[in-house]
Amino acid sequence: MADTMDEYVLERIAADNAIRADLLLPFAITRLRQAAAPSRQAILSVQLRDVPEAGESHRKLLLSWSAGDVAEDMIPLQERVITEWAAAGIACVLVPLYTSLRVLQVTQAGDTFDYWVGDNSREYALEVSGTIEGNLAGRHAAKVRQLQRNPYGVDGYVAVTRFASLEAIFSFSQYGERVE
Amino acid sequence: MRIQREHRISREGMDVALVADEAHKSELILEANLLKAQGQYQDATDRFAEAARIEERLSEMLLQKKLLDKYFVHRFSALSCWAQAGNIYQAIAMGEEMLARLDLPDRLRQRIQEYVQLLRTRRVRWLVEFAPPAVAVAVSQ
Repeated sequence: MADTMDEYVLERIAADNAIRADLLLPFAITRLRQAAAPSRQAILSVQLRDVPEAGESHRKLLLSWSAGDVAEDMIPLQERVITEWAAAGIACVLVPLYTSLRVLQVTQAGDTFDYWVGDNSREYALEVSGTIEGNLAGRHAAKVRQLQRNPYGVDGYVAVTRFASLEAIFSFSQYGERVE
Repeated sequence: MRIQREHRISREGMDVALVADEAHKSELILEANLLKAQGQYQDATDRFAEAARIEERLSEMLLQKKLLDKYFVHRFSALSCWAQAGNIYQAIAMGEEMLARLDLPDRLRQRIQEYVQLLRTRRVRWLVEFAPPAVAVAVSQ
């Protein structure tokens, strides 16, 4: 299937989700800038699996932002933390853009996933992960397995991003589904 | 084509006040996690404690509305927030309260049992390792 180009202004994640997604913005921009500097935009290759409907598709997503050098304003953090929070920022783009849902809540330790997503009538789980250069498919599979162990028995989404190559996998899986 | 039924948590019956509380709680947890990562532990635990109080209040309102699935989600979150805030006693008490419910789903029961057991182990370690410095007491005769 031919790639289709979508567009999204990163700053919109605050309005498009119920959580304070703007807190994640500096991390997402920091990681995207490393791959896209000096421009203020990056093209992310997104693989959609069973989102929004059954089947697999590929999209090109042009992400743009207006913020300048946010890294200078950030308190020093571990690289792993920056990457995970950057991936959460990307998930806050993928959820409203490719589903009719928004990120509703942050979970706490023990839930086996990171966020609740949904609309006015229903909620699903969302597990997020990011890496700079790691194996994206392997990480995605591990996160789907983790999501399948959720204690609420709910279906859910997994969003994983590899920043060095600007790739993401965004998938939906039903609870109890066989995981490869 | 998928033909399995959906497994989800219902939000039917959620009113504006509940939704606002959810958003505020999430903001606190996000900030707390960020502060923790930055080593600002006092500010982080303050936010976890505030989030725990909101989650407790939310869960009680959800129980009154008989939104049981949502009640379990927020009750477990309150427990976990108390643990993150350092109030292990309260967290264990809430876990035991949840485990006493006959309507607790099996998979969540197992998860809470594991979590409470972890907290009990941490509590023992704390009790054994925490030794306040001896205090000199002047005794008048």
